[in-house]
Amino acid sequence: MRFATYVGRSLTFYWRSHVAVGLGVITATATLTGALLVGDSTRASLRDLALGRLGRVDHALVSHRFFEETTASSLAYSLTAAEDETIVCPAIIVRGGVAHADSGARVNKVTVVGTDDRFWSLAGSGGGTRPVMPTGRAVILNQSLAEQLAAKPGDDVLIRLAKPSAVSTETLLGRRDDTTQTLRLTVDSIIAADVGGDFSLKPRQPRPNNAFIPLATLQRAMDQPGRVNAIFVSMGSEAGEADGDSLAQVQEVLQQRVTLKDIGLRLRTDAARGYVAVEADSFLIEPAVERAAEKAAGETGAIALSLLTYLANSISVPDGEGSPQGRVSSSDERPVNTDSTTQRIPYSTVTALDTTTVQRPVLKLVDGSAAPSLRSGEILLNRWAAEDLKVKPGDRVSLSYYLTSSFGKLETKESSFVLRGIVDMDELSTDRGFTPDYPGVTDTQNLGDWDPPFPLDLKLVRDKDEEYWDKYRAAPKAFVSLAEGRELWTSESERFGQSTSIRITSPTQAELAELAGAFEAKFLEHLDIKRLGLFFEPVRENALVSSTGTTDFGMLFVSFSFFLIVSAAMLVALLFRLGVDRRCREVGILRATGFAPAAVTGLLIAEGAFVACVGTAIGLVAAAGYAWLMLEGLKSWWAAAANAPFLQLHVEPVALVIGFVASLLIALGSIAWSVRSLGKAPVWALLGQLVIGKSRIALRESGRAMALVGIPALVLACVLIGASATSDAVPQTVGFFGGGAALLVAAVSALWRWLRADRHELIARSGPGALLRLGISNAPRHPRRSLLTTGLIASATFVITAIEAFHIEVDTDTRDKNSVTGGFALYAESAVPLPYDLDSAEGRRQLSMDEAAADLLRDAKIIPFRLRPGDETSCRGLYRPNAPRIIGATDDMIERGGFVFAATLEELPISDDGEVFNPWTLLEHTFPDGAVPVIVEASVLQWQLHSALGKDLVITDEHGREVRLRFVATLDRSVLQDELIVAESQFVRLFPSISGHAFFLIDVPQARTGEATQALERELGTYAFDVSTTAQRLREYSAVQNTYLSTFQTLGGLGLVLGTVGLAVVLLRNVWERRGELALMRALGFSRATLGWLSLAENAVLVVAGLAAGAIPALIAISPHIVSRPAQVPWLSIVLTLLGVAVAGIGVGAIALGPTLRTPLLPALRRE
Amino acid sequence: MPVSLCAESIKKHFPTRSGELAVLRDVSLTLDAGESAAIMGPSGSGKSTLLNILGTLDTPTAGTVTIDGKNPFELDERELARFRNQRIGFVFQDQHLLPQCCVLENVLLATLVTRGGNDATERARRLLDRVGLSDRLKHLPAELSGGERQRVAIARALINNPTLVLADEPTGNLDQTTADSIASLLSEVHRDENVTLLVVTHSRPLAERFERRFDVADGTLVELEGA
Repeated sequence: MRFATYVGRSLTFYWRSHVAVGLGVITATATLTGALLVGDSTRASLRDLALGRLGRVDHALVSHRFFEETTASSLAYSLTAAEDETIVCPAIIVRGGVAHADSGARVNKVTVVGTDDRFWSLAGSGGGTRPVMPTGRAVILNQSLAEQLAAKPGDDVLIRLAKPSAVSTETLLGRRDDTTQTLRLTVDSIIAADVGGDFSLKPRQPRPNNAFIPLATLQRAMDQPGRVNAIFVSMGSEAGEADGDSLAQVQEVLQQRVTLKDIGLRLRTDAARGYVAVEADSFLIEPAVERAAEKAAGETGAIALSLLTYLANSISVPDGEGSPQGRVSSSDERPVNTDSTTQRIPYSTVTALDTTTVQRPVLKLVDGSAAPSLRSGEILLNRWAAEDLKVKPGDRVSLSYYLTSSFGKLETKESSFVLRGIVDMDELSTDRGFTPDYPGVTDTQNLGDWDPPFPLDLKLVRDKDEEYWDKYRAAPKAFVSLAEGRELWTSESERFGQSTSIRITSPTQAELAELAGAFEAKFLEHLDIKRLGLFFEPVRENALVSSTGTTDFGMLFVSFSFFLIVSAAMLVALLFRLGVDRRCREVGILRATGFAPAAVTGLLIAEGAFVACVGTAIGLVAAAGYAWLMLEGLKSWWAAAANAPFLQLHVEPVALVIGFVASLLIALGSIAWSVRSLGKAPVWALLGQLVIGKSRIALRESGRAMALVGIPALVLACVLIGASATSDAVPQTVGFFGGGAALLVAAVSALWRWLRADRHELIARSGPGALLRLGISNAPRHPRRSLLTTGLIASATFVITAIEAFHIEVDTDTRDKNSVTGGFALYAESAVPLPYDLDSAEGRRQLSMDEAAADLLRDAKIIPFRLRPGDETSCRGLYRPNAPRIIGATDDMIERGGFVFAATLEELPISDDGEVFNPWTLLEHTFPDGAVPVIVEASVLQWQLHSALGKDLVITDEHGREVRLRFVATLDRSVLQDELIVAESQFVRLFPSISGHAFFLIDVPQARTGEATQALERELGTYAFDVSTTAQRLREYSAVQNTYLSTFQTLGGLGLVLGTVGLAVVLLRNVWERRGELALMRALGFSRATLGWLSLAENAVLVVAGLAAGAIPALIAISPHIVSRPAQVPWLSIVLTLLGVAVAGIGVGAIALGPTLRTPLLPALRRE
Repeated sequence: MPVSLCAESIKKHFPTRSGELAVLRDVSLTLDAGESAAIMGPSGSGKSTLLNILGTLDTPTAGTVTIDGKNPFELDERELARFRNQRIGFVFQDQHLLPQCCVLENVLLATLVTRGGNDATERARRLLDRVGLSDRLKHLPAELSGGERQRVAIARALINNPTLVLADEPTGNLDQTTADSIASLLSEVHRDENVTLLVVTHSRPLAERFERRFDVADGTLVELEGA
C-alpha cells in the first residue's frame, strides 16, 4: 500500500464531501479567475475597438494648419521608396455638425473627413467590400450618424463646418463674421464599421459619427484647393508593431519635404530694393518662424529686418498743447474721430521698424540723409502726409487705431508722437511691400473698395487719399520704432507674432537670387515644423496605451468579488473541515499507528490538494462563464457604469495561469487552515470523536486571543469616532468609517465570546419561549463553525450597508453657485467656436440670433470657455486619457468662482479677502518651473488620471512641446468631469490657434431651461451648438458610481448568499450530528414541526447576531453621512437589504432542514 | 526477563467546570517482556485513560513511563510517532478500521510510515492468514462481521512486530462466542508473536486468560492475587 492508494481510496470513499468542497473551490476559482478575465476582456475589447477604428493607420498628423496635398504625395514617395508597404493618405479632418435637410434631425458632434479612395485601404478592419468615394456633392455617412439622422442614400444633409482661415479671428484682420459654412450634400451611401465607417484616431467608447466627403469637394467648399490638414500613415505593420523609430522617420521625412507654402509663408524678392521678404498668409509672422528666419539670415551672412505694419484709422495733428509725449489712449467705438476741426488723414498704414539694424539706409529723409533711429514717442511721416497735415519736425502727430479685445470687440486707441523727420517719397519709402498682401484690402483698385473685417467710414476718404492709393497703394505714410509699434499693436505677441514681414538683405551686395536660395534652404532647415503644429502622433501606440484603461477591471472585479471569493474560501474550509470531522477517528487511528501529526495533516491536505486541483481546473472553465456573465452585466444591467456594449470575452492564458495558481493557493490555504488544529488534538480525543464539541480549553485560550483583538478594536473605534466628532484632526468620514470597521472587529470578537461562553441556564417551563431558549443554547454548540459563518455575514452586512449610503442622489437644484453645478442649469458645446460674446446682447446680435431668443437669454448668465477637444476624462470613459479635453476659464469665470471644491494645493495662497474663498484664483498662480495650474474633478484625478494634487500631467501643446499641467485644486462631484480647467491666458499660450469659445456654462432659471435649449440650438445651428442640462450630465456621472456600488453590492450579496449557504451547511451538520438527540426528542413526543422550529431558532439566532454585528457598526460608520445628508440616505434600501439577508439566511436553513427532519426515527435512535 | 513496560507514579488530572478531576492518582505498573496482563475495573475508573498513557496516546499529569527502557514522553512529536509505530500495537473496542480501505490495506496502514514494501505485504497476508481472514483480503470493513473486523484490527496491531500490544475492550462489542474466539486469538498471538500484551476489559473470563490481572479503583492500580 502506498500513500497514493490511501489518498485515492479516501477520495473515492468520501466523494460526496469532496464534491461539496470541490464546488466551493470551483466557486472561488470561477470568481477570482473570472474577475481577472473581465479585466483582460475589457482591455482586449478596448484594444480591439480602438485598433479596429484606426484601421491600418500607425501615425497621423492632424493640424490646425492647412498645407499642400502634394507634400503628402512627396512624403508618400519618400516613404514608399524605403518601405513598400507604407501607405500615406492626405485628408481633411474637422469637427462639424450634420442636419437632415428634410427632417431637421441634427447631430452636432460629427467628424467630417475629406478624403479619397486611398483612405479605404487604411480604414476599417479589412472585412466587407471597400467603399468607393463618390465625386461631386455627395457624402458617405457611417451607420451611427445615419441612424441618428434617419438618413438614407439619396437624402440631402446639411454639413456645418468651421471655415479655415490663416488669419486668426481674434486679430484685427480676422474675419469673425465668416467663420462657418454649410454644405448641402446628398447621401451616397451608408457604410458599416468594418469597412472604416467608424474610423477614429482617438480611442473612445461611443460610436463615432463620421461623414466622409470627397476631398476635392471639401477642399473647394473650404476654399482650400489642393490643401489638406491631415496625413494618415500606415507603415504596413501588424497591430501594435509600429514603433517610435518609424514615427521619427516619418517626422524627419516630412520635415525635409515641407515647403514654405505648407506653412503659409512666402519669400518675395524685391530686386529693385535689394531684399527678400518673408511674409505670411496669417499676416503676422509666428514667433517660431521669425526666430528661424533670424537664424537662417545669420547663417547666410544676411541681415534680418523685422517690420510691423498696422492700420491707423487716422493720422492727425492734435488740437491742443499739453498732450504728454508718447501714448494717449482713449476708448472709442467710432471708426474715426470725425471732428472737422482736426486735420487728419484717414486709413493709412504705419510701419514700425528699426532703422539702425541695417547698414544700408531703409529710409531717407527729404534732405537726403538716412532716417534717424527712432525713440519711443517719435514718428516719421512721409512727405505726402507731412504736407497734407502741414506739420514739420518737432510738431505733434496723433495716430488713431483699432485694438481687439475679448470676443473680437474693437476699441479705438490714440497715441501721440513727436514728428522726428519727414521721409522723402523715394523708392525706399513708397515700397508697397511694407504692407503684406491682405485680400480685400491690398488687392483693391480703390481705397473705397476696401472690405476689411472691421468698420470703416468711407465717407472720410478724400480724393487725395484715393490718388495716394492709386500711386502708392498700401505704402505706409508713417513710421515708428519697432519696439513702440510692437508695444502698441501686438498685445499677444507670443500667440500671433509681432512682425508682418522680415526683410533679408545682404551687407555685401551679393546676388539677390543666390541670397534668396541660400536663405530659403537655411530657413527651411531651421523651421521646426513640430513647433508649427505639423507633427505626427503615434496614434496606434497611443491607442494601445489608452486601451490599458483607466481602471484595472480585473482588480476592480476581484475587489467587487472579494466577499464572494472569501465566502467561497471559507466554505471550502468549512466543508473540508466538516468532512474531516467525520473522519476524526480515522485521524486518531493514523496517529495511534505511528503517523506524526504533520504526516496526518499532510495526508489530508494531499487529499484536499487533489480536490483543489480538480476544482480549480473545472473552475477555470466556470471562470469563463463568470467573466461572460460579468461582461454581459456590464453591457446590460450595469451599462451605466461601463458604457461599453462592445465588450467581448477574451480568455488570456496568463489570466488562467494566475487564476489557477491563486485559486489553488486559496483553496489549499483554506484546506490547510481547516485541518491545522487536528495535529494538536490528543489521539484519545480523536478516537473518541471528542475533538469537535468539547475542546473547551482550546476555546478558552483562543477566547483570550480574541479578547486581545476585540478590546483594542473597541478602544480604537471609540478613539477614532471620538476624535473625528470633536476635532478636525481626523476627517469625519475617515474617523467614522475606520471607527465603524474597528467596531465590526470588536463585534465579531464579542460574538466569539458569546459563542464560546458556558451556559448553565435551565430550560424550564414550556412553550415557544422555552423552545427558543433551547435553540439559543444550541446555537453556539460548535463555536468555530458558527463564528465562521456569522462573522462572514457580519462582514458582508457591514460592507453592503455602509456602501448603500454612498449611492449618490443628484441634487437637481442648480440655483446655488457653490453647488456641484456651479449654479449653472445648462452646459453647451459647439463644434465651431463662437467668435462673439454669447453673454452680451451685442454678441447675440452679431451671432444673428433672433430677438425672441435674445430676449429669452436676457437674464441668463453665460460663461464661455475655450475648448481644446480631446479625450474625455470622466468616469464614463474606460480608455486612459492620452490628450485630455481642456477648457480655458475666462477671467470672469475665475472672478465669479463657485462650485464645490474637494481640496486645494495647500502651499498655494488662495484669494480670500475675508469674505470669499475662491480657489479658482489658483489658476492664475505662476509656478517658477513654468507648470500650468489646472483644476480637475476629484474622482477624475484619483481614478481616471491616477494622480494627486500637486502632481503634474504632461501633455503636448499645439507646438508639439511637452507642457506640465499641475493639479492645484479638485472639484467635488462636479459637472465638469470630462475636462481639465486652465486659465484662458494659459490656454491661448498652449493652443494659440484655437480662437473663440466652444464650451459654455449657462445660468438660466430652471423653468426656462427647455426654451433656452431650443432657442440656442436653433439659433446657433450653424455652429453645431449642443445644449444639455447639468442635472442630466450629473445623473450620467453619478450613475457610474452608483452602478459600481450596486455591482459591488450584488457580488457582495452573492458572497452573503454563500455565507448563508455555509450557515445552512453548519445547521444541517449540527442537526445531523444531533440526529440521535432529535430522534430521542421525537420519541419523547416532540413533533417534527417543533423540532424544525427549534433548529430554525438556532439558525435565526446566528443570522440575526451576524446581521447585528455587521449593521450596527456600519450605521455608526456612515453616521456623518446620515447627519450631513439625511435626505440622501436610502433607508428603505438598507432595511430591505438587511431584511433580505435575514430572510435568505433563515430561509436557506429552513429549506435545508426539511429532509433531515424527515429521516426515520428508529434508525437514528438505533445508531445513537 | 527484561522489563518491557514500566509505569511509575502515574497521575492524570482533567480540568472540569468544577475544578480538577483526578482520574489516576498514583499508578505504578511493571510488565516484563512477553508478559500478558489484564486491567479491570468499573466504568469511569480510569483504565482506558491508563491504557492511553501507556500507549503514549495521552500524557500523564505526573509520573514516568518506560517502554523497552525508553521514556517515550522525552521524544519529540515525530520521534514519538515513530516509536509508537515500531514498538506498540493497538486493538480498540471499535476496531477503527478505515472504511475506504480493504482488509489488507487496513493491516498495512502502519507500514505506510516506514514504507514497508513487499515484505510488509507478505507479512500482512501471513497475519491475516493467521487470524483466519486469508480469503477476505479485498473486502471492505463494511462487508465484515464485528468479529472479523476485530481480527483485522489484531493483525493491524501486529504488522510492525511491536513489543507491546495494548487492547482496549477488544471484546466489548462482540457476542460471547465471537468474544471467546477473539480472546483465544489474542492469547495465541501473545504466545506466538512473543509480545507483551496488556488488555483493558470488563470481562473476567477474558482477563483470566492472561498471566497477571490488575484492578483500577479510585484512581489506583491494584494487582489481583491468584493470577
